[in-house]
Amino acid sequence: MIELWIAILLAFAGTFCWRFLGVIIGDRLPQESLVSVWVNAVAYAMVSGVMMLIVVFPSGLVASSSLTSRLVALFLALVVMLWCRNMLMAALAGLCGFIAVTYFIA
Amino acid sequence: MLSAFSRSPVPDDNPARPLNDGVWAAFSIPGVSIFANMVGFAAIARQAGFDLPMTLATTLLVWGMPGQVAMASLHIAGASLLVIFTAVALANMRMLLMSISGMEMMALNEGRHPFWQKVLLMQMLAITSWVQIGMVEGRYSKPGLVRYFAGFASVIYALGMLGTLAGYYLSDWASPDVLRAVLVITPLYILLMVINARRMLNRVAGVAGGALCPVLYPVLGEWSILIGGIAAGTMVVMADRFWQRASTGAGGPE
Repeated sequence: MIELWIAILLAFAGTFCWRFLGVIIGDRLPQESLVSVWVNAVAYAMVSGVMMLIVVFPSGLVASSSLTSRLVALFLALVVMLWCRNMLMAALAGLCGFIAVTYFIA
Repeated sequence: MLSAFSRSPVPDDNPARPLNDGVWAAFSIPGVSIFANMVGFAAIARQAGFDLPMTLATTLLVWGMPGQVAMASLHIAGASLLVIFTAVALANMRMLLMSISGMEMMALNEGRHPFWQKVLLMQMLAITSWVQIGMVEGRYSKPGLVRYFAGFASVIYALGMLGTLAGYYLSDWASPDVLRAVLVITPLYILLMVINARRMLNRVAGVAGGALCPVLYPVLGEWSILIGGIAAGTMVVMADRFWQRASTGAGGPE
């Protein structure tokens, strides 16, 4: 029991240290410097990398859906996004694509 | 939120406006998605033998899905405390980049806020709220963007806690079909936010990282996120600098 609480506090420390360091570094970094441009680009690349990994190589509950259904959902969401520039419509299109492939086609 | 899509600047005459906008924007896809993700986390945590206070404390304190899941699953596997700490720190390392980026987007280094407020704001930062300000950035003044973020991120934080609470009790009868559909839509939604980032360079970096990481994954495993992210981001910035220099004539000052 105590060990689990210690684990939770360590997990907190393991995340909080990055946030804290981010404040320290962010405070000293000039706006629009090359470093801050690079940090933003890498952060965006990493976050969308993580998300694409969930789409292509998921774990847990998502892994019980088919790769086809997830790729169709991604494709439809992107097409609708580029076509009518509406986030809600794009997400709904993705959802419909996912449901259609999972329950009606496969 | 449909209004979240407009790119036109919001007049800066009413200080309450950005806060309200942020609050309402959160009660949409982002709120539903964070709620469902935390339902999923609570189910894993309960399996791992966490009681309710522990599960809630993990969401409240760690507030980063990959780290939370890494912690719960390593605990099931009986990993040592050192391993848990290292794994969580690695899984949530992108928080460093995201908080530097969030600080920069909101110009928090300009001395308008005491240090503790900045730390608190960054504690509230999660992927959802970070991609959100990356998209609406420019519509608000910098102080306005801070208020927008405070409103948005508070609601997201609260819905995350509610989802954790609900998931702990309801995961037995919550329909796995519905939960799975929401969990499938979450990464799509974040990807849609990425390609709508206000800064073009960040959009391109997002596309590059999204393409590179799955290609590297079979070889590098979890390291593909770090290595692929750094490689993609660096290449895009270098290409951009090269292109800028080529179009303005070589040899300009750094």
